[in-house]
Amino acid sequence: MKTTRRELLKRGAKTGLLLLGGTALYEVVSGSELLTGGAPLRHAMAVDLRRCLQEEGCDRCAAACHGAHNVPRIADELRAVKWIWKDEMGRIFPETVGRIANAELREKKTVVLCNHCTNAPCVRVCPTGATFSREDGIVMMDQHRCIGCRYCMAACPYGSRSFNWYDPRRFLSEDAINPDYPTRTRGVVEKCDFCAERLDTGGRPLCVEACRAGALIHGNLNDPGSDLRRALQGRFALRRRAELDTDPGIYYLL
Amino acid sequence: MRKSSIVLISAALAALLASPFIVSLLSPPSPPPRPELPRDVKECVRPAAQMRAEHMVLLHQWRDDVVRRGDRREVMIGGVSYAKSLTGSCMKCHRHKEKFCDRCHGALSSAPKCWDCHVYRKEVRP
Repeated sequence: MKTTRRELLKRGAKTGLLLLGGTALYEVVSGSELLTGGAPLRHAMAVDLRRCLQEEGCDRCAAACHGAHNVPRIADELRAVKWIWKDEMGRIFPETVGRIANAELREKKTVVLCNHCTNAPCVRVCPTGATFSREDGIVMMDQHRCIGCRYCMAACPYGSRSFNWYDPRRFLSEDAINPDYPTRTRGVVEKCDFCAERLDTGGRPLCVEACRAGALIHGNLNDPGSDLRRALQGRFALRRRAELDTDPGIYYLL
Repeated sequence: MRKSSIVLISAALAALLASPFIVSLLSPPSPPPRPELPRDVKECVRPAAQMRAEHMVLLHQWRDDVVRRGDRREVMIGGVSYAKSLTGSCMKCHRHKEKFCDRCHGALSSAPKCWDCHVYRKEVRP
């Protein structure tokens, strides 16, 4: 088939747009220019930095999450297990906040958790299908299938995954275990599952419920009327390592 | 001389190898395991014969429904609604793992890893 001049120009324009998109070092999203589509439901979350950064030393979200999900408290930082925790802004956004001179902002802490990426690298590398993407945007783990190879930990750009070096029950006191949620076992990887068990029954993630500052907003990213979309509207937001094109589902509202 | 000793040693070896079979043939058959059934509930989610043969198939179906398909709808059986959950449904009636699961699984040396993660605690049973 002969390529018409019109088609060639069209293709050229598309290639140009792709190149432009691909070379962006980082992105700033604003609510009004959100490009969404696909599934009718896409679970996502916003962290309102104005509210969260003010609550220094607060860890209610992590305490609620780790308590309910039987996450062991292990002192050794290299072998600790975490689903949601606080880290310095400069480390969360190394290519933006990390490069600015304002040390005060760089060292302020906010929450990090699994970004529930649309194009999740952990899902791509998992050899057993233990980690998979649900249609509603949750990156889920099936612990029954995890063989502990830790490919996902190497692939995740956010360090959101933890390996169980020990039997977690050694670090959970008998009366602190939540019997309605399984613990994990030695030799498997775990991470935040966005409280899939709560979302499936119409609830909200525990961290969102636990936040007294109202800094965590959960909602359907693909529904223009959702709490989340309203929060994103008219504000600028950062996403972590957006240049990797993982399409993270956690937005940090500036 | 040498030949007879070889015969003796091989006979002893054969006797040693056969001894477990001989012992089990001579001893009375061990009684079949008797898992303790709940007294207050008579109906299970499937007929007893099917549960005996295929309970793991059902558990795997429930697991795949909940974990992989996110389908947490309860199942309605005989007018009773059950959550697709090992600890949330099965163990509500079969309260004591030692007197139910472990009896057969122990006798058959079959050890599924359910309880490595799922929490069984006597004191939290209702």
